[in-house]
Amino acid sequence: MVTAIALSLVVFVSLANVETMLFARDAVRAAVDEGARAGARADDPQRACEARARAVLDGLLAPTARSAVAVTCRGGASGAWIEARADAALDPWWPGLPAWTFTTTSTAGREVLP
Amino acid sequence: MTLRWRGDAHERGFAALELVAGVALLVLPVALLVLSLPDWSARQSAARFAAREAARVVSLAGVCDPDRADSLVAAVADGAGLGSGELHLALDCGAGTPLPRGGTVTARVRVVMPAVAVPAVGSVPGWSWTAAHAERVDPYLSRP
Repeated sequence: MVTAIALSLVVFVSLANVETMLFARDAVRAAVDEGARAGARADDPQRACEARARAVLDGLLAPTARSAVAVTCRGGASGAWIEARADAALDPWWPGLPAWTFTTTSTAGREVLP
Repeated sequence: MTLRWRGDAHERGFAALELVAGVALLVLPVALLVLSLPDWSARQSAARFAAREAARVVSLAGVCDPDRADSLVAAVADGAGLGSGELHLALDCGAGTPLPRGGTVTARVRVVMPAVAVPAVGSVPGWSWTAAHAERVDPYLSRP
């Protein structure tokens, strides 16, 4: 009986952990989308992109999770595109398991004056 | 005094059968549904973003340019981890035609939604979902 309850708790916690990691992945995607969108309209696209992406991460993720996400933006002021890229390494709740690493990018067309 | 449960002849069940049935009919479907929900949301977000950016890029160009919009949608799909051909773009303007000042251009992006998606395992295609975005063309747009 006790073993069955313990096993069901392990399954429940594992599912909850998967859900939180998927939420973190979606938060990182939202951050790069917002960063690319903000950088597309800015005079200093890279700085605006990274600042906006970082602000979104600050709003959606806890300090530990967001510190494991590195955001970079590239695409020059003269370029037609700006690309925001996030490299993340999320640690699972269970000790001993490897971190889940993933990379996500977002692209937006630059808005430049003629 | 020690209390000991001796069971009741009327309450005897089939524990092994109940466990298997419970896992197969309750735990597994709920787990699959819970694991699929974030993927549905992520795909819808990617389609919305692709539609918005495709419409904006075409609007900024001032000319209906499906190739440019298609390349952007492909980049969005790649960045979101979707396979090629999972986002389909449709513009409501004819290729190569100039857009009227102050008009609107609408981009519709259709995304394939998985019926079941298990992270790191795979997904089974289910239905499609369409995101649309209308972008206004600059009323003072200059053309060469």
